[in-house]
Amino acid sequence: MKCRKCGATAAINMRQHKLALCEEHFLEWMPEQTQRFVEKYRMFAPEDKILVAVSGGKDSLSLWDILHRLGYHADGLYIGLGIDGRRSSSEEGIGYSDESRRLSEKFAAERGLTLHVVEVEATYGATIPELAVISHRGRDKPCAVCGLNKRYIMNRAAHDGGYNVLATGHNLDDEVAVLMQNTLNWASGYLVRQAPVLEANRPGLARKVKPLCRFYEREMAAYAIVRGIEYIYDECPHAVGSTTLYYKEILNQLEEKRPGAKLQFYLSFLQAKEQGLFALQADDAELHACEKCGQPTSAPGECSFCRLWDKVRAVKGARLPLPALPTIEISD
Amino acid sequence: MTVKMVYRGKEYEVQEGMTVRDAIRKVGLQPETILAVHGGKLLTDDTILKSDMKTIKLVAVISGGSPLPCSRSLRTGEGWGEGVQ
Repeated sequence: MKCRKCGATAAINMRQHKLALCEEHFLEWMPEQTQRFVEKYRMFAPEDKILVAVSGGKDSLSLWDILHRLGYHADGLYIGLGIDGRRSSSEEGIGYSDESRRLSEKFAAERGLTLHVVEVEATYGATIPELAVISHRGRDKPCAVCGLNKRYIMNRAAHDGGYNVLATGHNLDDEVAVLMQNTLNWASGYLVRQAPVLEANRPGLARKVKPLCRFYEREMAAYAIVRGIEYIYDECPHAVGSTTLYYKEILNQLEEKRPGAKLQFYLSFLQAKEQGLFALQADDAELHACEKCGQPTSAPGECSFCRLWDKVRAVKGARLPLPALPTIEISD
Repeated sequence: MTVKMVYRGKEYEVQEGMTVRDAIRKVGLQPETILAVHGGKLLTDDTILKSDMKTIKLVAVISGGSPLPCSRSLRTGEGWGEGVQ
């Protein structure tokens, strides 16, 4: 197969676009398309200060790389979750979180980029897996508390660091897996909020954007490989067997038979939303400042993040290094 | 003659003359979720496998689902392709 632009041997064929490109032209096409999506969905402007949530995976590192290549002011935020993943301490290898931090730091150092690091255990006193066990949330699966902590820390780091925009590396496969799950459940509240941009429409909330939302996961992996980005190959060990991976598998079976099915599903959804298919429900509930940390919360009193950590402190007591909720200290 | 394909540390032998897409299907994997790499270069799905290729590395594009819970980084560029795990 030949590159449509130059006729050289193609490196990737994107069946949904009927487009094959060589390495050189694929590496040009990806930032061009990203810029197109940034403008189409009015994500950010050249003068904005962007914080990229970086996990050490192919999507977030590639996003950071692309934004850097496009000339945006984009710093990284790595959140250390304390997830090991090895069966025992004697097993060889490096733990999941340690390796993902190493790769994120290496990426930043090689390009002279600023990476902020927030280690959950050092900052708050427990790792995410410990937090899941102590809090009894999510049936000992840490994903629920992990999501809560990441959302909180990302929002707070963006706010405290003076960033206008928080960018995440969600690709189209991530988006359609969630879309399918929410459609099967007719979760209208979630459907109405799923979008390439989540506006900062309340005080204290960061504006969130997903510049990769129209790229297939396959393209993101290809970009990382062709660019020579070293990324963490395995997903978080707790994600193995997750419903998101199950829906991705089903959607890829559909894509195999009908090239473009995933893209069509997502774009039709966005179009339907624009045409008013989903009525915005009354979402005028006032946000309050958490009385402990000051972050926005829907109910008066303490936010769910502070309540969670209060519970953990009550159990761990004096073993915790910090008597009260600290402010996030971002280390460069 | 056969060509060796390596996916998550597991080796598969397929006949030369097949396309990459057919070979991926043949070993029970989903072509949409795999990238084939040879000598550090990506191969398109219609590439015909030849015996002189010896080893093709198959890269999962979806992270996760690995039987190995501990992390392994994916090093790109050098060391890719023939005979490399």
